[in-house]
Amino acid sequence: MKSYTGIIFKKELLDIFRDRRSIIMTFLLPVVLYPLMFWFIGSQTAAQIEGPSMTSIVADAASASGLRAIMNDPVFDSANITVTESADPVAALQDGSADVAVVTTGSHLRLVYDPNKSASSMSLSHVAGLLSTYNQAAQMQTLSDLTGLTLMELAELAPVSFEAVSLDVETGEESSGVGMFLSMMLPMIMIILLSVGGMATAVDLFAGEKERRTFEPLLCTGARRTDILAGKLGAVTVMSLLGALASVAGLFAGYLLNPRAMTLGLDDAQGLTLPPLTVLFVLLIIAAMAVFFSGLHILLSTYARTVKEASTYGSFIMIACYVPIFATMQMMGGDFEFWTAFVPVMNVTGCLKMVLAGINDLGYMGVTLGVTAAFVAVVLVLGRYMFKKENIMLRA
Amino acid sequence: MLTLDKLTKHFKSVKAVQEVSFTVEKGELFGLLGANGAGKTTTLRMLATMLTPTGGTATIEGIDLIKQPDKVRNHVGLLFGGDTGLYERLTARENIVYFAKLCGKSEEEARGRAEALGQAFAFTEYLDFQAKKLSKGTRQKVAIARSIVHDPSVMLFDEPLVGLDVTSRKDVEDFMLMLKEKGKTIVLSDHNLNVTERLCDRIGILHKGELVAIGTLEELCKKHECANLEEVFFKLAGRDTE
Repeated sequence: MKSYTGIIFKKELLDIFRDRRSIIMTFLLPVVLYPLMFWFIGSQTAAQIEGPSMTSIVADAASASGLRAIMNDPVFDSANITVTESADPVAALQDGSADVAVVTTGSHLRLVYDPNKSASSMSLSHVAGLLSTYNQAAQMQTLSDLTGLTLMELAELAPVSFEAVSLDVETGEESSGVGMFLSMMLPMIMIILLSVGGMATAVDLFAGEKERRTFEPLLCTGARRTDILAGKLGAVTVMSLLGALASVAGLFAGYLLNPRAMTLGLDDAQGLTLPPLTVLFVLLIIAAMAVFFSGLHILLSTYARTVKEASTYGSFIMIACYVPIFATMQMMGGDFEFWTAFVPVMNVTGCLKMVLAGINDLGYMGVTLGVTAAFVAVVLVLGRYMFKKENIMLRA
Repeated sequence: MLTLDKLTKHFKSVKAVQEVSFTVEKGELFGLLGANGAGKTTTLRMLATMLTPTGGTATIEGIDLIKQPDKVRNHVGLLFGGDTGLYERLTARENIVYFAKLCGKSEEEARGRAEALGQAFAFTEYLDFQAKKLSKGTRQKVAIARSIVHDPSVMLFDEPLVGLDVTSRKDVEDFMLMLKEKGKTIVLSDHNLNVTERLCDRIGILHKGELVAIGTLEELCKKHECANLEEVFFKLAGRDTE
């Protein structure tokens, strides 16, 4: 018997691409908004990490001259700190003319800052860090003067001498992975987008058709219900994948705009080289995940009487998906144990994090692909069952 | 030709259609009359193979709709009233071509049918307009064209005049009469007594899922000793119509 899946698939895509709202929401917004969002947040975070470019300290008369003298120490070179004197430094902090106010209590300095202003908080960390360094250097110099030991000899008196070294530096292997921030964020963004991308289309193509009464004429044509289901599933999956792709394009555009913005300034995006088999696995897993989410949205949209009802059900899916996504948000690629490959959504997050960390665990990926494919099969069987249920298809 | 043989549909405990039997000949316009919930739409949905009967069967052009629903669909056209069920973002032409293809026509045949139906129903100039931009009357014409795009021998009309203005009602009525002249088998489901009385050769009255009367207008009036169809209807169905 002739299959009408292709005809239905083409018509649905034509219909979807004529819907300006869908196009704007699915494609244009991610491409335009993501670079801007990442650029803005990235600039803010980078500024916080790099420290303030200029810090203004207002000190009372008792400490101002002393502070100015300290600022001549090499520790404060290129620190860009200005110290001005005021009878009421706290008032200067309150009116915003200073980042940090210094109030003297005996021989003790109170550094007062405004926790509601990021510039003030950053300036406090900056100044406090420099003062600690200055204090330590001064203490060591005094000890050296008193004991006659050199600074090097004094450093050796510390009970534990240590330094932090990353594994790739230790082993001399080339660093791989895209950095901590990207490996945390990219899988999360990708899966959320896959779960959301096809939702509007599924709602429109199933609950929307019921509401507009276009389903009934369709059911009277030569197309079998499995043809209708397959054609529509294909269209929803394409939209889900294209939505995710548009978002990745948006992220890439953000990277071109400012490479550090993409990592929010937390670390540098290093090169990532993947073997072809891994790339194939990743693409298959992402595609299977898109079909899975599309199928879930279709199930709920088929069951729903109206677009509103379908949208409410769709929101439940998204919330359910966020649980494994956020549960693994802080995990790095190497943290995923093998059993997690059997947990849907979590396993895909694990795969993506592993790949982004430069870990090629084909066994984990294979199980993930198999588990995701099994869930896709379950969703398809349920969809087929629902399409044959008259009380579901014709309920309005 | 259309034959219903004890056609039955139950939805759990609800007996929507109970052993309904009648035959509609080629070139006959048969009216199915009943109040809301009488079982008219359920009967038509079974004939269109959208619902599977829970008992009995029906044949369309000799094909059993339970055994060969796919084949039956090639011989049946269905037109709903109210919402026309067109795809709003597709043009009139695309709507017709889509359904023609889903009824087994090639791209070329489908386009030819769309053009021919546009001319037949005088909406050629609107063929490339999106459905959402068409007037209600033109939308109804497009819906009609879509329902007969595969040239079915049996046409089922489910309250086709609902929500139409006088001109559009006339167009749909003329269309049904034209199909009758062409020898099509037609079932018109409606609760408008005047339309049924005026257009139909024979009338069946459904009440709570059962066919309580069948015959020509004269036969029904004579049998039930009534002056007109309205009297017959209220005598059989009563005022308890829900």
